[in-house]
Amino acid sequence: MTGAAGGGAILEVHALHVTYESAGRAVHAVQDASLSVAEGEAVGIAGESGCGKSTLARVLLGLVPAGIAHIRNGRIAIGGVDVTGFAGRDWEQVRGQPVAIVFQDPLSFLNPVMRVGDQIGEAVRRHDSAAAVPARSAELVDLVRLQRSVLRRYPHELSGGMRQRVMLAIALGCRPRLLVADEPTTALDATTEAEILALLRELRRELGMAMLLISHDLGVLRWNCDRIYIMYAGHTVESGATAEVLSRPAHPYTRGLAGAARLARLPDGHFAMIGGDVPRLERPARLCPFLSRCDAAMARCREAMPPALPAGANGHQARCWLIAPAHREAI
Amino acid sequence: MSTAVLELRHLSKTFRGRGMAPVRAVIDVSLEVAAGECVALVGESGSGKSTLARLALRLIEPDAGEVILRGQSLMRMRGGTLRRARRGIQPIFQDPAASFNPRRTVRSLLSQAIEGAGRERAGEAEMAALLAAVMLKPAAEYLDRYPHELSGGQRQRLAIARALAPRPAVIIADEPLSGADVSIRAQLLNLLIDMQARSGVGYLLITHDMHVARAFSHRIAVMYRGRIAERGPTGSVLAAPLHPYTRQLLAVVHSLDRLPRDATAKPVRSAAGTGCGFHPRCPLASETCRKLEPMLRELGPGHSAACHHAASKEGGGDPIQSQPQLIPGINAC
Repeated sequence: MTGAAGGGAILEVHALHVTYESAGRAVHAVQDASLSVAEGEAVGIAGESGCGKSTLARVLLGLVPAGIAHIRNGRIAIGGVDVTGFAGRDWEQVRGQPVAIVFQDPLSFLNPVMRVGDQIGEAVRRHDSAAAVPARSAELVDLVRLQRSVLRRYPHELSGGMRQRVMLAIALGCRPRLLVADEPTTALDATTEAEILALLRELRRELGMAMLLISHDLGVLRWNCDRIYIMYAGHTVESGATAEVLSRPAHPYTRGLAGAARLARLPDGHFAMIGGDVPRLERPARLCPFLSRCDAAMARCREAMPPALPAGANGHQARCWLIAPAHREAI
Repeated sequence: MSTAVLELRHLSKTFRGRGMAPVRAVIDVSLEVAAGECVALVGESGSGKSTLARLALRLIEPDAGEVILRGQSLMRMRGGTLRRARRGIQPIFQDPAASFNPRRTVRSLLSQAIEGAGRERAGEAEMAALLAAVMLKPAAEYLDRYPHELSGGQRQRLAIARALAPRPAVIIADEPLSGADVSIRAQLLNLLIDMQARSGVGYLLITHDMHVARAFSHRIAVMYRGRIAERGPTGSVLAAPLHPYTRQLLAVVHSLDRLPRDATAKPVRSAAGTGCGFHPRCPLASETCRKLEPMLRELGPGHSAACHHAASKEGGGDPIQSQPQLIPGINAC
């Protein structure tokens, strides 16, 4: 599933399959994921726990445990460079510049015994001269709308929102063309979340930076991404312009997810939910991974895995037989 | 409204520690929960929601005020009497893993909850019925498991079953759904709806999730810096919020169907010395707000707010209120 409009792609992922293997057991965390992010574009990945979205974010920068995580199939290209076979120090070519990442929990990322200024300085030094550090650090702190006095503080002295801003300053210190943000506001309360999301929007405007925003919260993705990918059990099952996908979902999983997110009431007073459980990921799916929970499943779904099919305007695609031309003609 | 099963009357709690300024976590808060009712308590982190929950459960002692359960004050009870009475009010916490003894099986956890309620030995059938109610069936498959052998969603369902085991009058649920995926969230809410229909239990639901408050509660109470800023029927609070803080909370909600307002006005986090606790962040703050603490006033049917600028819904002649509002209220989140 591609469909980035205009400009070159800063990120391209094609048919990616990633497994975690240890003690003879395998987990197929990502099984068939394809996506692209154009320069300057904001793209979202939505999905629930265990759908593979965080593995996908980490594997882009080689941040999965070596020897345990394996790319079984597919290809990742960053700024036109194929990073699929990268190991060890190879990753330094892409980490920070052109791609930086921020995580949900800044406390586990920041060094607790190092002042904020030194941590930002460390990021600056990797890409600028040592002489530039003080001026550039101050500039970065201004950029994330913090007071400069924060440079002398330790992470534990800051609020959750301030720590997230520090992590952003470190990421921006490398002048990334793509910022990967993995659940950056999940741990924050609604007011702080809105502030951080507003800051991200402003920064993208000022710096012309692309963003890959990973979230379980469709409401957050709805207003912060140009395009969205829906992930389920390691597969990108639907993609397209965010407003289109969320208002006219083609895949039954996306419909279920959006209904649950809206807390839509059924006629009997209950909330709409997705019945059943997510499939186990011990072996790769041969058929649609949503089959066991799908109300609309038909004979064809038990025969073959659906490919990405056109589902609407502006590159809207879904992996579902319901939208195949043959099925449409039949009804 | 039917009779209150839980009444919190003028509760206050200040935390004092050596070398630190006292923290006034809960200040003169009164709140009622009726049988079969769900009251949502919302507010940002640090607003005192969880402290209020712990006061209501009598896990901590209030400095002032009373907790009244089914017409009886818990404050004057001690020892065994208190323990028995307190079973009528059960907690569900955010992290079920942390609230279970990891060395007890599901069977042992449930029988403890049932027998603790002063009833006879817990029968297999009663435990199976509880597990079935929370969709953990067949019971035989779960009774001998340990909490760590359950998934996150199953553990939260077990927490609900355990809270219901003593047949409480009220359940106080502190962020029971945060961290749960949206499909699990709907499932747990459905469970709480069914339980209420069956037993008439009242819920005090503490949440930062306005979607949940909107969809699930009959009444909403908004806390800010230890005080109730606004409370009233859910529909009325959401459609016509009276307090600027409530409007701000609603404005930042990221919903699928409504554009959130940009969080442009930088909130000032400094404490208000005197007057309204919200005035440093309030777009409507006036001289009065800086000097005088607003009282909670009833301005519509069952709908109160603690704001000098909030006008009565009937009157509408308030000169301050007729100024253009800086933060428009939104009808739903």
